[in-house]
Amino acid sequence: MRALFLDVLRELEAEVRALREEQDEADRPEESSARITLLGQFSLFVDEEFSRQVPLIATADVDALIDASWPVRSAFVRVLNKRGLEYDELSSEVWIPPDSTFLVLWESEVLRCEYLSPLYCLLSKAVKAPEKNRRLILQGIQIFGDELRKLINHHGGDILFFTSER
Amino acid sequence: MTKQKFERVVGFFVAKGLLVAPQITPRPSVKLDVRDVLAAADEEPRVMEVFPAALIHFPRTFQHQERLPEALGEIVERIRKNLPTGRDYKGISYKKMRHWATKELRDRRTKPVGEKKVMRSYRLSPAAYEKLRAHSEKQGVTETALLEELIRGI
Repeated sequence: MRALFLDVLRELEAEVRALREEQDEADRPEESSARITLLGQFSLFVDEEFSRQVPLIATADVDALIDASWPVRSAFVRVLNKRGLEYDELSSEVWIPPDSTFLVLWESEVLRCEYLSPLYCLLSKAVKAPEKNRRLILQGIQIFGDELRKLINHHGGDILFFTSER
Repeated sequence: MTKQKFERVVGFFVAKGLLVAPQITPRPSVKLDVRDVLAAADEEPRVMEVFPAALIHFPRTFQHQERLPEALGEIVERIRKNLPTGRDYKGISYKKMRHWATKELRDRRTKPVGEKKVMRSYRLSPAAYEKLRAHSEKQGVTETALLEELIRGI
């Protein structure tokens, strides 16, 4: 999945560069550098270490914050659609915990893509969508242990929901 | 449930583009017991998120549909009728479940809910029918296509 996403970004980079050339030729102000922040399940998918340890399943919608012009945004959506994925227009509603850390997936002069680190992605899911993510959080606790447990409790989540017998 | 059964269920949804799971082999042609799907959804709620869409688009895949919980059956019917609101189910919002039924899938034999044709039969006078038949033949379209075009122009 990381390879698929790198492919998405490679294609998007080419589109952004093409847009910049067009703007140059038309003497229009240059497109500023585009920034994409992956959230949700796909931010776990692209983390090599985490996805190696935890088999992941996702619906086909990608949560991401897009800080870019409308043409670049449309290009991103189009590039996702080509691969059977869609952009979740409600991505801005995803809760990003305070002090979240992000990891860089792609960086160039025209495009930067980061993703929410697995620890904080799991925290977000544990606090805001515990029922949907119980199995995943349990697996996350096995990896991150007390660090994740403390964060969940600190941010109003219920650790017992995940750890008690059902 | 066994890992094999779980992967069989998820594999079907992956094959139809409803789920993404790189480690699971796509299974486009399996028959699935509704009870196995419900069990898989207990382990992975994302299965539940797309199950109504799969039931609507691929009904022949699912056996023992009489085992569907009543609440879930009602949700499926509301989605089938493209109703904008309905009850959430086991932490999955109706909106999300409906969304997947309205999405165009990679299996081109399916149509998103809201685009499925509605069957009606109308009695036409012989003269009206003859006119419809002659015009559709002249334009090289089906009678249905011609009717739809005429209605769009209203």
